[in-house]
Amino acid sequence: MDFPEDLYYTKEHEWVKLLESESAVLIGITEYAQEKLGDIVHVDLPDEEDEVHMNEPFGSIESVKAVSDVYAPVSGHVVENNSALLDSPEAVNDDPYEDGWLVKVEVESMDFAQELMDAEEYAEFIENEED
Amino acid sequence: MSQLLRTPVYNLHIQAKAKMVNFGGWEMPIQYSTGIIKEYEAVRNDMGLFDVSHMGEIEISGKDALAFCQKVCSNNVAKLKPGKIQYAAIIDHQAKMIDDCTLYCLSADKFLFVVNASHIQEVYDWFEENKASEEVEINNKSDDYALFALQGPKSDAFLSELVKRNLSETVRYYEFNVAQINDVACLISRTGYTGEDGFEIYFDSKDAAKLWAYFIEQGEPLGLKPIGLGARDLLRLEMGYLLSGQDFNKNTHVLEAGLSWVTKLDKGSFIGKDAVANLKEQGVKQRVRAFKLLGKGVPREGYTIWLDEDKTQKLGQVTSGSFSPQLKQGIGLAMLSTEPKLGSKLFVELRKDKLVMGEVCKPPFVKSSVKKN
Repeated sequence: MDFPEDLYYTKEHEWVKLLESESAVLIGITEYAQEKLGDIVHVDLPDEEDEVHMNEPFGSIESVKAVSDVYAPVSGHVVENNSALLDSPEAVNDDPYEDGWLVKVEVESMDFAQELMDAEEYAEFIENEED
Repeated sequence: MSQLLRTPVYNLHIQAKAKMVNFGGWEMPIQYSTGIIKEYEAVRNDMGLFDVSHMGEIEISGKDALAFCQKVCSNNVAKLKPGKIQYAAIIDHQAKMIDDCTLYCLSADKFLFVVNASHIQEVYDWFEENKASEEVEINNKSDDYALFALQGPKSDAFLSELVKRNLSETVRYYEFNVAQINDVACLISRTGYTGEDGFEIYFDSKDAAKLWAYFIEQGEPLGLKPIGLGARDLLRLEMGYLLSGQDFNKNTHVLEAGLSWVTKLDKGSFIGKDAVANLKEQGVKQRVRAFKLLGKGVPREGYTIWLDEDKTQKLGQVTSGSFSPQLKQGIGLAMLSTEPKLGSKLFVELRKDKLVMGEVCKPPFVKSSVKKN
């Protein structure tokens, strides 16, 4: 399973990409999460300018099996949402780290970084969760 | 919690890397490795194989078998001839649903009820309790039988080849016959719960692993896939078929379940008849209805349905909901007050107070491909 090294990860299986030269981050769900969810058929995302709060749900992902909340790994406001997912939600399955990104959030502070895991820690976290 | 029950094909599901879930006390595959949508597509376009060995088989035999079946069954069993099958409801004295079933006429004095896995004991006990005659024998054969469903447009040609017989001529819709498959004696019926042409195949459970492997080996080159409960739920919901324990339960009147079409008041006396007649006279206040969402979203079991956006009048709640891969929209069944006419608008409360407009529609959601001849 692929966990890119340039991303940071949460226990709720979101990834965070720090964008250089911007005080914004990209957020998505991990390959592990999309695989657990199965075929994704609908993605509900916040609008641009909406505020998101760390550890609170900001959207939901519907698979044929179930609906799951997506938790914000950061606090801030949404500067862009991946509107392409409205028509092609399956991009989250096919390419969770690139085309399947969910939102771009302008962060208030960088405090969140301490809460996140790097790729190696996340892989270990999943292994323990599987057991 | 007690140990989950397993079908005789359990080990082969594990080998095929199926994800297993608890389904009514049974450990069943919800999906295999390629995912629910791919399985769904296999059934709609090619064919799929379902292990439904958890279903129950209760045999009724003896001189008074027909009279007994008439008593415990909503449909008119007298219309059945050997080799034919009926869909029916099993109801109590208040006409509340005990289960739905298919009923096979094996001979003039021998019938086979096929009931849902989680209701086997309940139905058996109910039958025993209502056995008024010594001339009826009731046997729970659920452990003896294994059952596979082979469904999809390629099933007829594939199975005809395996049994070396033209099945489109010899086994028509809701009929069955016997045949050998890979040296296993089988009862083959043209039935199923997917809306596709296909078969349900009954045989001795000790042959289950052998037969499953044979079907996969012979069918895979033709596009056959093993199918789990996830795809099965999508397929049956697109047809508007009821799921026991979800779209109806023991508190649901047979007319509320929308099963008046298999409840024959003119057939003579049967258990629950008066309660059916009474409700018919009073008028049914709520009934399972089909609806689809007009906006984005997926309805799920338990979501509230409103008449209006301001939520002043509640219409009912979703009993089954999902996303139709064919229509690319949310579809569902709901227990609704019967007022809304076909095409009338309703509002489904998804999550966090989010309402999405839908409309009442007539099932099936997608066109059935069964060959009713």
